[in-house]
Amino acid sequence: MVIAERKPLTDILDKLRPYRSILIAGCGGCMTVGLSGGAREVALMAQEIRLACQALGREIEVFEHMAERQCEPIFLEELIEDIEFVDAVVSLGCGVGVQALAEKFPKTVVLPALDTRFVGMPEKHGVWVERCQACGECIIDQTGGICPIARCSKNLLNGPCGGSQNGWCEVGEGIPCAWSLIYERMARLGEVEKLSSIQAAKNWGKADGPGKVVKGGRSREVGE
Amino acid sequence: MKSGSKLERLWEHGQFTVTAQMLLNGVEDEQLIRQTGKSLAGYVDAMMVPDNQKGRVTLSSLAGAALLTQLGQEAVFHLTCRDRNRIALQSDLMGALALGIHNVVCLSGDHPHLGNRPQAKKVYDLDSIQLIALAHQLREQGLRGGEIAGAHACLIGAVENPFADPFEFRVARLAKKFEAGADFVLTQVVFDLERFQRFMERVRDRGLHKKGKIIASLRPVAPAQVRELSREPGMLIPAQVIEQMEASGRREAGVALCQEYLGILRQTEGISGVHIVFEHWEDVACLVKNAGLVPRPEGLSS
Repeated sequence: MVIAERKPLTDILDKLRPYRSILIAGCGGCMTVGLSGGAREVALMAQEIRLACQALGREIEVFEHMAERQCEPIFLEELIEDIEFVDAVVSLGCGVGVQALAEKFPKTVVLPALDTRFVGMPEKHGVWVERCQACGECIIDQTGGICPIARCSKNLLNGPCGGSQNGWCEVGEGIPCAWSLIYERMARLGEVEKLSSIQAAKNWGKADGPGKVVKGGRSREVGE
Repeated sequence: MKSGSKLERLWEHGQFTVTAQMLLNGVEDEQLIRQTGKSLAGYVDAMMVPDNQKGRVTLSSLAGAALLTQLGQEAVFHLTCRDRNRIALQSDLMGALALGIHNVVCLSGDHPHLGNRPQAKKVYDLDSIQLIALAHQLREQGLRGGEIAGAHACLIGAVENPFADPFEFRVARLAKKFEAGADFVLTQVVFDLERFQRFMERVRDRGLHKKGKIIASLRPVAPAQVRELSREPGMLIPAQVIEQMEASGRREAGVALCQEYLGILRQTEGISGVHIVFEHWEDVACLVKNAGLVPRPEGLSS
């Protein structure tokens, strides 16, 4: 899922200064399961903005809305009428959700309330970790199902750098060395020998934007 | 001869080489390179210039190596994957040759988060092994299928850290570097001699010391700095070594330790040279002199 974090309330209030009537739009997809932009977070933010504006003596009218998935234009149809009554929309969607709103409503100001961080999964309650960088060419069959692009700080494809120590990455304690994990797992699978073959330079053209995928058709591809 | 490199000629003649590398600070790098380049003439066979080591901004390694070349010193430039994509890497490899630099060391490079520009965008388009393969391809085949092969005569170096983990994988990685086209490999600086010897045993078991040259690195360090150095990424200094040096307290303790290790490493099968990372050039001169490694052989005609 897409993982995002909320911006500080002071930043949001600052950006809302010119507006008197706003709509807070949440997302029923990743942002709900990732606890950053679901119905609960929408209600909480609406309340925080109302109280803060009251304390500051600023007049504001706050509406709330949940889209099933903010990143799909079809689920934004239901906002067509309400959008006329607000000066700005505050999106609690990921970076895609914010842009879907902006595209759907060309005459409305749309502001992001989240910082989208990565594609990842929960490690435990309230903690998420990165697992994929959408590089466009999955190679984890060769690395024991562990992605060195997303999980090695240097995106190395041919083994650990000289900074791997006791299973930790040189960038800091708390970051597991992806290659240490890969090595352990390949050893358990009896496939360590596979790591001896040289991985050729990656075609980063596939990861390069703006990306487009056409089902059953030809996607844009860059090669050498 | 694969390259116009003096180092390659010396190894071809069975010589045990001595190289050195200064620590740059980003403040007076040019003077430092010029001064140590002059001072160490006659003590070393070549000098290496690091590429923004620890992610800290210093004078460009290519420019530093060019300065040394102007002084008549054989130069090796370090080239990391951290700050350049494959276009810039290849361009710098070509540029080095145009400047008369015939030796390169290919490495991934310390992560920007560790340095003094932690907000920099990391690159890592290639990893060190892919960079070695690129340099090798450039030398053996030229840019496109051989049209300018031979024009890119460069000796290709790599690094390996026997003190990093997983230990078992370090030898396999060394093998990959030789397979990709490395002519020589520098090790991380040796403080844990026991672990280094275990590493070399495995290297010899696989015959890797015959696939290319392995150069052991040493670094004279003052007792006051040894504990701090031991905390740096990729550095393994046994507690016993730290305690002994601290107990001694004498600045010369670091040089003495290197002197002892140099004697042992010279006799270690599979080690073709020593590489000294220095803060004070006088330490290098002292080590080399006391080891009876001067005078250095002349450039030996090719």
